[in-house]
Amino acid sequence: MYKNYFKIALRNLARNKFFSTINIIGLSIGIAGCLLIGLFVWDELQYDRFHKDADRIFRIYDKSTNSQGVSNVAPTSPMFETTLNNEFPEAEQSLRILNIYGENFFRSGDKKGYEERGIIAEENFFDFFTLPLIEGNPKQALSSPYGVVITQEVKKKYLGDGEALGKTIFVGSDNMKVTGVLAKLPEHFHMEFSYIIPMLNVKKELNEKQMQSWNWQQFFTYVKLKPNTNKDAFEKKFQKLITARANPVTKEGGFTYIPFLQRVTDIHLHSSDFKFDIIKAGNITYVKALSIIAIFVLLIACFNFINLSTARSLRRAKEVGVRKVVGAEQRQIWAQFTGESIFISLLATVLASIIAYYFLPSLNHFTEKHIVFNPLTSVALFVFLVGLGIVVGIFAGIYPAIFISRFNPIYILKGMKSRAGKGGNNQILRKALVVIQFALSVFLISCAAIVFKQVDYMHHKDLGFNKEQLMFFPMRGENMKNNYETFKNEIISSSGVVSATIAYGYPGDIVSGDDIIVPGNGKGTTYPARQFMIDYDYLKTMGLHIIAGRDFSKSFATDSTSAFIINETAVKELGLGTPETAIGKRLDWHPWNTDKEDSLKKGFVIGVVKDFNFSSLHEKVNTAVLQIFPSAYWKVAVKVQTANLKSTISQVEKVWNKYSPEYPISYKFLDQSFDEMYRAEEKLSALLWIFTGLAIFIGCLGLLGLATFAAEQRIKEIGIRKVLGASATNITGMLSGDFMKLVLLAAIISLPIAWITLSKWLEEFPYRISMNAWLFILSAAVALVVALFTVSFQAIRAASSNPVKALRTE
Amino acid sequence: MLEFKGISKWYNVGGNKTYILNNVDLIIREGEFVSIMGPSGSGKSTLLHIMGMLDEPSEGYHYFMGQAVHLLKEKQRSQLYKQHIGFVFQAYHLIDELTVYENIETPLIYQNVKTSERKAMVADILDRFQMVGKKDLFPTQLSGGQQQLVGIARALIASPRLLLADEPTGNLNSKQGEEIMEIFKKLNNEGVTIIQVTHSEKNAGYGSRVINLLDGRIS
Ligand SMILES: Nc1ncnc2c1ncn2[C@@H]1O[C@H](COP(=O)(O)OP(=O)(O)OP(=O)(O)O)[C@@H](O)[C@H]1O
Ligand SMILES: [Mg+2]
Repeated sequence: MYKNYFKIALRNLARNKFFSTINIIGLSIGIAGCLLIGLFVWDELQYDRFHKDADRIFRIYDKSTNSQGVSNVAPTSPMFETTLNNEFPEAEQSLRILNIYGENFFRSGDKKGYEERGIIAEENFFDFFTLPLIEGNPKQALSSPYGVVITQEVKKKYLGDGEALGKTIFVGSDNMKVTGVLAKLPEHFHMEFSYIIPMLNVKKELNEKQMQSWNWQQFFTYVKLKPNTNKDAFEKKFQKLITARANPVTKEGGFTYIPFLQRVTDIHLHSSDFKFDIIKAGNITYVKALSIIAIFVLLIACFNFINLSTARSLRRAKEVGVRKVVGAEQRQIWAQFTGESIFISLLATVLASIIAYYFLPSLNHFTEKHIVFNPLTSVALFVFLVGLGIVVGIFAGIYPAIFISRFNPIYILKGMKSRAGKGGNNQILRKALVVIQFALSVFLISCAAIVFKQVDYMHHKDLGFNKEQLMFFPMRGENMKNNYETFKNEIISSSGVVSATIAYGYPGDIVSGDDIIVPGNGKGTTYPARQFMIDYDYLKTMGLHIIAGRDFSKSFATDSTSAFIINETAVKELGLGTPETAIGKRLDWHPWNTDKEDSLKKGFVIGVVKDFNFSSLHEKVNTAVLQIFPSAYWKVAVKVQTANLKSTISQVEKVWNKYSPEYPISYKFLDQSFDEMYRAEEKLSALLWIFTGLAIFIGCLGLLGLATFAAEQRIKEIGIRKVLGASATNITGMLSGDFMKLVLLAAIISLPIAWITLSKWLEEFPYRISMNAWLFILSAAVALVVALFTVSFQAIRAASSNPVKALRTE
Repeated sequence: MLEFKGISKWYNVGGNKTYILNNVDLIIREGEFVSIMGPSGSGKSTLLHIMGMLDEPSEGYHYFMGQAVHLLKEKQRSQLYKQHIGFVFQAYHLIDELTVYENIETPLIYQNVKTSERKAMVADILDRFQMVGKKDLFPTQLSGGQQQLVGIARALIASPRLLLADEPTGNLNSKQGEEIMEIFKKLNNEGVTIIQVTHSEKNAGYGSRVINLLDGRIS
């Protein structure tokens, strides 16, 4: 029996090459798209599942509220862990990690360089994270103050191939002994670093008082709960205790927080909006969006299949009639046709797997993943694919099969085919499916357009400063730091250099946060602010705009001791009225690096700068305070001319080598780090375009099939109309019109939904494009034009055929 | 073998009942060779379809091989005709995508006959109709007469007791027609009951009895 069915399926496929091709290609592309997205999504979900006890390891973060609103903050107060240790028996272990911001200098013998990412961790780090050590013992690797754990790459770079354990390596400012060598970090680990320094190493710098602060949020805190502990109950208990102790203290600093637990397996995908985080963050919204798109694409492909199968089912009517007459039951016919679509779907799955196999390297490259896809070596994957093929086959084939199996043989045998199936409903279904397909397509086009515009906007928005042609690097070595003034002047006088500044606090780089005080009755009011420790050339070099008052100037001696420049937001936040009225107002600040406990810098606002986006456009501009404060100077920014960039850079290097020959220079361009901030959106945008293209292509494939079918069915009518004098244009209009109405309806349905969805997405961006109706109309127009092109291709062919020939073949 | 009592068939056309068959009584005994004749539109095909249980009467009693067909459920009815009735059509109604061999085999598939048995049975009938050489051809590669032979072979493959034929020679030339009639004659002699619809007096002459239909009534 199956042989019989199989043969007839194959012969039908071969006989109707055009429709078979449309069906199989459409389905293959749909499934391939789905597979690729599926692989990506699956991979994103694999993060941190490999740790022993992953189900009871959590990270603690804060939901923090201040005058600017609520935000999730990744680092916490050091007291979290202390409290966990002392008062929560449910916590089996807890762990604190500090991030090392900026590059660190490494040297061993004559090999030297910078390592970008490092962390400081407590001894039990390896009890939390199952990271294999090639050398060393995980229990002791972090238990001596001058030990360092490095990755294999770092070892290779500085210590060569032999055993590294026990060897000495100079890190930052200390000689450290290698106590462990990590294998390459697993791809699905949420952190990325090249070395770990023991917390014991910095213990001496962390004074008792600081470690008891509820205000100081710098520690990434992890907890491993005892088995069978209820997470929610624990979280509640912890929240209650922490808020009771912390918030009365933090309120004075203008903020409060509530701690939350986050499963270690959730960290990667559910932290995209966390502030001050250090992890490799994915984005659950984008993962979900991509999953939905994958389903859309597959749906569109399945609808093609349903439409073409039912439309062309009359072709099979005679066969069904005959089979019934010779004894087939409805159930058997149904099984035959469902089987046929499963067969086609399996065929498409094979093709899709081949397509996916060949496109996976591009996806891997694009998403920086290392996904492996080979159904021939993985039994689970093979079984999954067969299952997918069957499910898609049943989904796409069940309705056509039921529809066909209901044909009444009498009518068919009498030659009254149109009566055989209840044709009317079927037409409506077909139209409905076309509408849904194009509604999804229009939706996707709108999304792609808006996301693209938003990404483009973020890249090109006026940030309030000039990020182009800015080379920047940290100073190294005592000689350079002590003689920064002459060092800077020498750089400025190099050819090709426009200007240079030395500061701590650059847009796109680390900007320190510290309170600013508006003096008033009693202690005055404290406001959280971002601090820029700058010199006299900063505003000029960075291209900040003064909108009231003046820039710092050496001709005012007081500028170095008692002057502040603030941004527009600060004027508002600190309640200083307008930029003009803010000039001359008093501000106080507790200076850093002094031994005196309560020293206070008393100063005046001398200038107001236009708001500049010093962090990414995902965040609103905060209160910013700029002041002259040489003891914090750290990084140099050099504005260079576009021409002769290479020689300019080597000029700067030459100056560097004069001051710090023992350190290599390591510089970046500021606009690069800005571009990197929008990588996630950029990738989403690119993926959206690709899959929108796919969706439209598959939808049009179906439309092409339906149009061909319609033209075929109406060939006699077209012939008669032409004989009666209809022009080719009339006929084309008639044939295309039907479909265009459907596509138009689809656009009308989907645009409002797209509008709402995208408005919601854009709300996540404090700086965003405004919703533009034209963009939506354009999206609909694109769908219409593409559909019209597809349909009229067939219509014109039908309309220009010879009417006499058409009538004679009937 | 087959009995109709007060069988009627009507359609509602524009709110009125239009009778296709009107109160038909008839008995057909095992081993008969009956010809149904009548003008076009008189209801001959409809009558045949009801006999073959492909169509249902609007009213009346229908007995086949001792069973009251009008009381049977769809499934039982299909079981009954699948086993005992074979059909031959004017337009042959072969499945174009299947070969001669596969077309003849199809009814056996639906009666769950084993592959090996099927092979033997199809080989047997191909031999009988002298079509062994044509078994791998597709219907479109055959002449009308040959196609009808395949149609008859298919109707006979499951050894039915009753053969229903709706103008089996309608599309054939007279020589091909005669051949078919000879086959029917022979089958009837072997004990198969045959009911055929025909417009030709000559064909009717092969049978043992003629039923004349006029406006849905036996005259
Ligand atoms: N679904 C239907 N609705 C209304 N009338 C119908 C329907 N099916 C068949 N008829 C009518 O029933 C009548 C009898 O049809 P039938 O096919 O049985 O005639 P016939 O005697 O076999 O004719 P012919 O010799 O042309 O084959 C015809 O007039 C036909 O128009
Ligand atoms: Mg007839």
